[in-house]
Amino acid sequence: MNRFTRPFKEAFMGLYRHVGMTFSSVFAVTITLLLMALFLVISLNVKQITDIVKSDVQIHVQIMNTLDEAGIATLNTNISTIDGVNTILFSDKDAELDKFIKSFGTEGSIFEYYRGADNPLLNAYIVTIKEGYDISFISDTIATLYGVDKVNYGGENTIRLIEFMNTIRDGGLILTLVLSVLAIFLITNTIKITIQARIDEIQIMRIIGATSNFIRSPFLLEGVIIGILGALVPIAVTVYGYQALYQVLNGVLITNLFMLRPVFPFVYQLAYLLLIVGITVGLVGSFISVTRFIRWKR
Amino acid sequence: MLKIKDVSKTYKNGVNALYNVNLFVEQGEFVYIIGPTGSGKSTLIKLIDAEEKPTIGTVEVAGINIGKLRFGRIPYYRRHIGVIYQDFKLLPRKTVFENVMFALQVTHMPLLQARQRVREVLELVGISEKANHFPDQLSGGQQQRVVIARAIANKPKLLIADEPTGNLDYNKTAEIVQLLEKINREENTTVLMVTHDVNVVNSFRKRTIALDEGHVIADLPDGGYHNHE
Repeated sequence: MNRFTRPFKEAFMGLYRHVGMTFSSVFAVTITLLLMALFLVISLNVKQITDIVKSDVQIHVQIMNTLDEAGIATLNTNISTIDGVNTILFSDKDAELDKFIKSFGTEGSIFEYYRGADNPLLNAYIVTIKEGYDISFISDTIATLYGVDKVNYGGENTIRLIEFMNTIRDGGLILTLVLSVLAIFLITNTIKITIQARIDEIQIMRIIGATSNFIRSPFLLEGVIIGILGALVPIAVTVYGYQALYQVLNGVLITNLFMLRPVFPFVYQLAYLLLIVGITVGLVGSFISVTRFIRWKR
Repeated sequence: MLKIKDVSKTYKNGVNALYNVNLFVEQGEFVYIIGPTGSGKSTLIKLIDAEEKPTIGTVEVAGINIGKLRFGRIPYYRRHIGVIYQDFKLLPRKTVFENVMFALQVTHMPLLQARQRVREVLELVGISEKANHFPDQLSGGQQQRVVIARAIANKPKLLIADEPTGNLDYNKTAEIVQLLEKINREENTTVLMVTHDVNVVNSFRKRTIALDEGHVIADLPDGGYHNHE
């Protein structure tokens, strides 16, 4: 038994001797990570979806035909002074017609007739806003400016959708944190018991000049092993479960607007994350125990 | 070897354990420290094995100032001293051989060298034939020999024996003291034996230091101690 294999051997011995406690700790980590995986899958997909939806959250400002070029430039300055405005993009009549035609797909070509002097559309500014600002308020403010004909934005429903999705994400995050604390607590207890079972050994180790790390390492390793064991099932469920889900739903949720993240490398990133969280939770739990229950007197 | 200079120790709870103790021990000496319960013997040991710091004064072992020792260095220091306790403190699930081996694993000694050294010390304490037994298969005297073997495995310069014969009858006590004498002689290890057993002190005469209520009340180079009570 050399200096590198010793902590491993002793860690496995410790876990084996208290197999019941080991099992409950592993189970706690498993549950925590399963839920965490679930929320990660949801919230990361929600993020993807909200990013798509958010790109639609822009204010379409139609400019009066009577406004000359200097007036249009002044309007730009005026809009840009409003608090919360992010970008302002000018889109002239022709560009507006292009978008209009495009929105009809293949049948849009009939509107080509309007191109040129007969174009009934208006010049426009596309205004995007910074996150956290009230789009309806900004849009109302823009509507009062001189030279603005009409203002349009995605509307309240878009905003509500984003808020709802953010709530899901935050709720999941909080629940995962709470469960992590619970898992850490259970691991702390497991390690405490294995420490108490070996308190004589620890005392002897001190007498014969074992360093703190020598005494600590098997217990820390026990925590890490619990974390890794606890991460196995959630990783398998995530990798295979998401793959299956993606196939069943054909990569989309209800409409093409809600595209799911592609399976790879998404599931591998999740697997790494779960493993790292499992190890961290195990390490933190055992570290708390080791510092609390092995008294570091001189 | 051991220099205790003007040492006083007051514990945090206000108990005064030692008053202005001065003590000098040369390398290779065998010294008894004798005194009744509460005389400060245990505190003296704790100061030497770095468990406690002196409140005033300095404790120096082999040129190392124990009170100034950083926390992280203490384990390395302890490898230079061996400590034997009254309650044997052997690991019940390990054999005699493994118990002694354990002390060497802690220092990361190469395996073959460590095995060689374990056989050596088991031979020295006269318990080689019990190498594969477990502690509970041994008598008290035999267990104490294993503890001694473990304490000297690292070739300590100083061996502290805290009431090593407290649990043993007179014959076994004599054997253990003779063994400590042998180690003192053959390995040139300084031995500091703490006891309250006046019989031992008078049968195997060595330099004897008597403590009472935290004071050194006698330092007899030729040993032999008369209880004045």
